[in-house]
This record gives sequence, structure tokens and C-alpha cells, in this order.
Amino acid sequence: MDIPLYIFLIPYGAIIIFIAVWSLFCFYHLVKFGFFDFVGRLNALLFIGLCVIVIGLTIFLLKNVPWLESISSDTLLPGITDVFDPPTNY
Amino acid sequence: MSLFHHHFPGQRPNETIVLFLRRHWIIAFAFVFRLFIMMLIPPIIAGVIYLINPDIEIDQTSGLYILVIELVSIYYLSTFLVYLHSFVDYHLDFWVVTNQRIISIEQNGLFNRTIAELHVEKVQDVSSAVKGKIQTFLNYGHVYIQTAGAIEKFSFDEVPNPSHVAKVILQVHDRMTQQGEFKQHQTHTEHGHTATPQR
Repeated sequence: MDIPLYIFLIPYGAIIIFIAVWSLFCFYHLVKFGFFDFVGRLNALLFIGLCVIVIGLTIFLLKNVPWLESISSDTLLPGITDVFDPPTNY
Repeated sequence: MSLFHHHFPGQRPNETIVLFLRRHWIIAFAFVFRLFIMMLIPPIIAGVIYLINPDIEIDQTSGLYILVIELVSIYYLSTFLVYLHSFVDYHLDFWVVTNQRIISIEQNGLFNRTIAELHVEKVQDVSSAVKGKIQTFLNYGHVYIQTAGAIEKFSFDEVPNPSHVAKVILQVHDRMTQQGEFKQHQTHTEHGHTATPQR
């Protein structure tokens, strides 16, 4: 069975949306209950900044992936040298 | 210092804030420290894998590469979200002592908020407790207020300098009580006989 690579984006996108919605709830509570003060703003900015960095790095690392291509389900996890084999070229 | 140290939601026009309290900073430090530790875990794991096999390579068009990048991304985003959630929980817990009331606002998770209010005149007894080495060294602990109201016991959890807080609450209560006695005395003097003050 051939699996298109863009399939991997669907669960990732769903989790990102969940994290975004939960974050909005947190910001809503900070603002609504009247304590969006300096410390609140600092932490909100820190959170947003760190998330932007992580998502930016993710996009950068995944931008060269040929998303429209497919891989076979039998060879889903190839492309890695065996982690637990010690190197033989001493 | 928060702007709201001089004003808080629901404050009355003739009400002044005597104390504005949050949990001790060490509570916030705990989840900040946890954030740093969690952020270090993926690089440590990568370092260990690299030490076991320095020649490891992942094909950048393989499913495994995509999975690893996405899992690490989700891990970091979840860590930041847990931090934000902990911060909101910490930041929205506070206690206010005014010249009229004692207000306790506690956030338990995002969708659970408890607000309790007590008139200072109803305070019967105030005690403080500092337990353990860390609380002793950093001088933070609990303040317990015995009341004559519907809620028999109020508590301030993990606040700095609890003995001073207890003292201040008693001073505010004494001041309110003296003002009440003064008003009764005034009523007695004006009428020239014992008069029951209007309640």
C-alpha cells in the first residue's frame, strides 16, 4: 500500500490546532480576570516567541520533503543506518 | 509591580488594599525549572544516540525523518503549553486584604475558579504555619483565618512572610472593631442615653 507523505501532516496539524486553542483559552483567562500585567505579558510573549521558533524550525527542516510523493507501507521506516550497530571502521 | 496592586476587579470606591498576595516565587520557579529540564531532554537523547553511533544518518525524504521532526516539534510545543498553563494557574491565584474585606481567588485549572470573600469584622482567629526546611529558609507558608461566617476557615496558601500577614490581618480587624465601638460611643453621646445603633 502506498502512503502519500502529506498524510503525516494531518495528525501534526490537528495537534497544533489543539495546542493553539488551549493557548487561546490561557490568554483569555489572563486578560479576562484583569491580570494581564507586565509579568503576564512577558510570559505570553515568551510562549508565543518560543512556539514561533519551534514551528519555524519545523517548517525549515521539512521544507525539502517531497510531500506529494508516496512511500510503500512496507518500507515506511527505511533510510536510517542501524542505531545500535557499533561502527566497524575503527 | 502590577498595576492592580492599587486596584483589583470588584474593588469598592472607599476600599483600600492593605495586602496583595500571591504564592511565593519559589512555586513559579519550580515550573520554570521544569521547563528548562524538559527542553534539554531531546538534545540529550540526540547526543546519546550520536555517541552510540556517530555515523547515523536519516534520509530526509523518509517517513522516519518526518516523524522524528514532527514528534520533537510536538514535544516542545506541549512543554511550552504546560508551562503556560502552570503560569496561568499560579498568576490567577491571589489573596487581597483590604480595610473592609478579605478576598481569596483561586484558579484550579482553566475552567474552575473559586472566589471567596470575608468581612474583616468576622475574623475570629488568625494563625500562620511554616513547615519544612525550604519553607523555613525562604520564609513562606500558610495563613489560616478562623471566621464567624459561612466559610469557617479561610486559608492563604504558600504566601511569603505568613507571620507578618497574620499580624496585619489582626491589625485590620482591630481597627475595624475600634471604629465600630467608636461609632457606638458617638451614638450614645449624641442621644444622651443608651441607644441601639441602627444595623
